[in-house]
Formats: sequence, structure tokens, C-alpha cells
Amino acid sequence: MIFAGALAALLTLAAPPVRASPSSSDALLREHLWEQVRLLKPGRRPRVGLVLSAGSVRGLAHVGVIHVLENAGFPIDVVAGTSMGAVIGSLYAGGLSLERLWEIGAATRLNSGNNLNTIRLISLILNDQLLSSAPLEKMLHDGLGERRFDELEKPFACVAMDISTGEKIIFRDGPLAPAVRASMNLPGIFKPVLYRHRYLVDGGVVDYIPVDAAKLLGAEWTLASVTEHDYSNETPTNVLGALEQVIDIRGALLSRRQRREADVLIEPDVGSIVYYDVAKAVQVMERGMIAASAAINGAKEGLILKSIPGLFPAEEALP
Amino acid sequence: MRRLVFLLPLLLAGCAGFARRAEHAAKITALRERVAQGRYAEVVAELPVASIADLPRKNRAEAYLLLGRSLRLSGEVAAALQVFQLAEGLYPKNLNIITELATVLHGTGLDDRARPYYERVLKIHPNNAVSNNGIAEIYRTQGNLAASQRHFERALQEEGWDKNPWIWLNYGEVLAARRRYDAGAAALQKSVSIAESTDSLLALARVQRIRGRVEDARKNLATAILHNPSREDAILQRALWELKDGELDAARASAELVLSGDSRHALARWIRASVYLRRKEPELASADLAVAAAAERSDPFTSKVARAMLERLMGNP
Repeated sequence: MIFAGALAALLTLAAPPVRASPSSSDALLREHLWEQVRLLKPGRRPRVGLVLSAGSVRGLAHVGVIHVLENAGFPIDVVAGTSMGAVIGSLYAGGLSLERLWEIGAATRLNSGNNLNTIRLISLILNDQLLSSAPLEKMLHDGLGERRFDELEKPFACVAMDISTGEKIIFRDGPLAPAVRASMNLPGIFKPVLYRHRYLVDGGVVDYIPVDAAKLLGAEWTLASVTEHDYSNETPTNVLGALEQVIDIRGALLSRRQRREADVLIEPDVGSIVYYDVAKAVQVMERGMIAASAAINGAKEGLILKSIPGLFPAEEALP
Repeated sequence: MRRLVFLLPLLLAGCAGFARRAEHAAKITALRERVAQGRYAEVVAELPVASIADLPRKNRAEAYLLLGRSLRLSGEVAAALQVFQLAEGLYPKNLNIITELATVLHGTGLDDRARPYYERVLKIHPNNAVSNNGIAEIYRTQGNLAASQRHFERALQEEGWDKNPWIWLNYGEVLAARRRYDAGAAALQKSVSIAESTDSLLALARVQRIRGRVEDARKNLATAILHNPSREDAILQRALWELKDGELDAARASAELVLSGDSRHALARWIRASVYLRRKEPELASADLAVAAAAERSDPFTSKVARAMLERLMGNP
């Protein structure tokens, strides 16, 4: 057996491991132009918006997507997010390192950002007493300090819903933490957040994929990370599951137009992950990476093609 | 005496068994040597799967390994996969078999299925170099570059593995992809110093250029082309750098070198068109761009770029 082990090592050393074939023409041109697009001054390429959808635990896949985009040197100019997308987006726009984002994602627990415990859960069921999402504000303060939107490193917007009027409310100024908290405030579980004279709940109900919010920030080309629930194969067995599924279905229906408006969609394979399955946090982030890795070349090519006017000004070529 | 007569058949049977075991052991040793010598076809011919069950129990696992490995290394991947899947079912705790099964799955692109097997091995032997290398490659494909780097580093710690130029090459490329260019260049340099190859020289040249070491990059690219003059991608890479550096005559010459073998080569046409554009010769550029734009099937992105530029030249925004 020992001999066989040594032989295995020897053979693996002798044979080259899996190598990509020689670079294709498309790959060579893509990387050549990509370096130029990244160096283009603002105004000579489209303003790029990163859109992060709602999706509770599934939304942690955005962390993996951001990793891949950053490693590729993708120029992200503005960020918009809803619910979990708002939490991840605010931390990213606030300048948190990739490593720190990963740590936060991996450490996510069911009671991260809320006051959920056994007694309160019993209280929720027996007394109809909703939970509080106030601890989310503390979590954001711990991560970024008490920042305002205009103090972030990248322009950022997040979306919540006014539970009295059903209006979609896009936040892009003022204190960051209460807005993000309102954006990730699941109705039926957490108390509506009173902020700016409105009672606010999770934005996923009205704007699951906030492409419009990114455009409001000036995005001219958007890349959306979408972590929808695959509810077609799911039969909820409890109150919270049924509630989440209804919200997801409504969000998915309302997001159809937003999907069409995004220039690139990255859809991590997380549809089967239920909203409270925090044990799968790392797996979810990895799935974000896998989906983004598969989509990154297409995304680069899309942005390059959109940047052709800046890369090759016609007047410079004509005699 | 009577007792001896009675025991004689048993003694003879014992001797025969011993001889058979020795014969099987010698056969396995011979097969092992053939695998080491790369004579895979002979191993495949001499060791049909059905014959393995007739071998003594202690030789069977290794026989499956030798057969599967020979099939894998002679390109019969589907058959190798069958052998290793069968063997894994019979010997679920044999780490060599699990590692080989993972390697075959990974080699056929079934990374999601390969990964749990590598992880099983690493749980027991965290320093197993084959598994660390395999899982590093999977993480790299999946975009988890930090994890990929970590596992390549563990693989390189194993004795002998630091002499493998391919692992240094992959490791260097992962570091470069993480924008750790200096460390990446050092790893790629190591790969080149162990064994120069077009791939390692090209990768090193690319990182050196990013770090502003233009002359070193050119020198290594030139050596890469010398190594394998038929590698079009290396010549086109040189043409693109020349274009970027404003060396228009050189860029055109490099592009035309490729065009001499394939006059409709989309990227070579695009490069020459870009030279014409810089020289303010839009008619010549348009002709080349039109040819490049026609390559929708073979080079869809180059074709789209050429078409977009052509439209701009013709006055459409």
C-alpha cells in the first residue's frame, strides 16, 4: 500500500496536471481590451452598477460573486441591494475587504442581526409578538462604524417597502444602518421599522432585484446577482416557510422587468436553499463564486462592447 | 510414517499455494514496473477486470489501481472511471483508490463529484499532495482563488512536489489572478527554472508586463515563441503588446506572420486593422475589420468587436 502511494505521487509528478488549451483569439482580445477598459477614465466607459437581490441566506452568494468580480478587477462604480443584498452591498460599498466579507458571511447565524431566541420564537408563535431587527444596526456599526450613505467608498442604495402604502422606498442618503435594517426586515417575523415617518418592511416584497435603484445612482450598465428561491419544488410545512415563499413568489413576479433590464445576470445555484439554512452559508458563498466564475468572461465582453466608443473614438481613426 | 503420508498432500497443497502467491506477487511487481515505464497498453491487456477477482485478496486493491491508472494514462478515461468506481465500492477506505477516482472525475470535468472524494482523503491525510493539488485546481476553476492558493501551497510542501514545474505554474497563475504579482512571478520563475515550457514562459511574461518589467516580459515571450514557433497564441500576444506599445510596424509584421498561414484569421485581421486605424487609413482598416466581423462562429467576441468598430467607422454611433 505504501508502495502504491509512492507510485501514485510519482505518476502524478510525471504527468502534467490539467492545463487549459492555448489561449483562444477571443480570450487574447478580451484580456487585451479589458485592461484598457479598466483604465478608461469615467465618462469614456459606462458607469457600472452592481445589483444584489434579496434572498435571505441565499443572498450570501453575493459575497462569492463580489470575490470573483474583484479578482477580475471589475470596475464597480455603484452598488444597490435589497434585503440580504442590502446588507452585503452596504458592507462592500463601505470598503470591507473580501476576507472580512467572507468571515462575516461564514459566521452568519439564524439570530445574526435580530433578537431571535427560543423564548422570543415561542412568544412570536403564541402571543403574535413580532421580533426586532434592531441588532442588525449594531452589526453594521461594528462592521463599518456609524456611517452615512455619502461616507461610503462607493455610492450605494437600498430598498424597503412602506407597509402602509405599499410604496417602494429607495434610500441613498442619510444614516446607513436604519435604511439597511428596514431593507432586511422580513414582514411577519420582524416589527416594521419606523424611519422617516414611515413603517418599513423588507424591500424584497416590491423590488427583489433593484436595477432601478442602481440606475437612480447613475448606473448605465448593470450586473445583477440574483438569488431567487426555486419555489416550484417546495411545499412549505410551517408558517414562516409559507410566508417566505409567498414573498418570494411575489418578488419574482415583480422582478421580471428588472431581470430584463440588467445587462448581465449572475444566478448562483442556490434556489433549493431555504431562508434559514445558515449551516450552508459557506456552501452558498462558494456557489456564488462558481456562478460568477462561469459568467465573468461574458460580463467582461459585455462591458467591453459597451465601451467601444470610449476605446475607439471614431474621430481619432479618421484622417 | 503413516502420519507423514497423511500430511504430505496438505504439505504439497501448502507449497502450491505459496508458489501461487509468489507468482501473483511477481505478476503485480511486473505490472507495477510496466506502469512506471509507461507501458500502459500491456497492463490493460494482461489485467482484465474479471481476472482481478481471482488474485489473492491482498493484491486486488493494487491490481485495480494499476489497471485504472493504466487506462487513465492511456486516455481510456471512461473505462478508468468504471474501474475506480468499482474499486471504490469494494475498498471504500483505500485512500489511493479514492484519490485516483477523484482525479479521473476531475479530469473529465466532473468537479462537483470529484471534490467530496478529495475532501475525504484530506480529512484523513491533510497533507496528501495529490488531493491538495486536485482540490486546488477545482477551487481555481470555481473561482475560489484563496482556497486554491492554500491547497497548492500544501501540495508544494510535500517532498518531491516542489520539483514539479506544472504545479508551480498553476500556483503562480492563481497568485497572479489574486493580484499578488510579485509572489506570482516568483512561482512562475520557479516553474521556468525547473523546466522551461511555452506555457510557463508565457505566464511569466504576462505577469512581468503587468509589473512594468517590459523588457523581461518581451525576452520571455520571445523564448516562448522559440520554444514552440507554431503556437499562434504566443505570436498574437506579441502582436497585441506591440500594438499597445505603438510599435505599429512590428505589430503588423506579427499579425501578418499569422495571416500567412490563415489569411482570414480574425484576430490577426483585427490587429492589422488597428494598425491601419492608428495610421489613419480607414479604408484598409475597414477591409480587415469586415473579414474579422465575418468570423461569428469561430471567434464570436472578436467578430462582435470588429463589427462594432466597423459601424463606428461607417458613421453609425
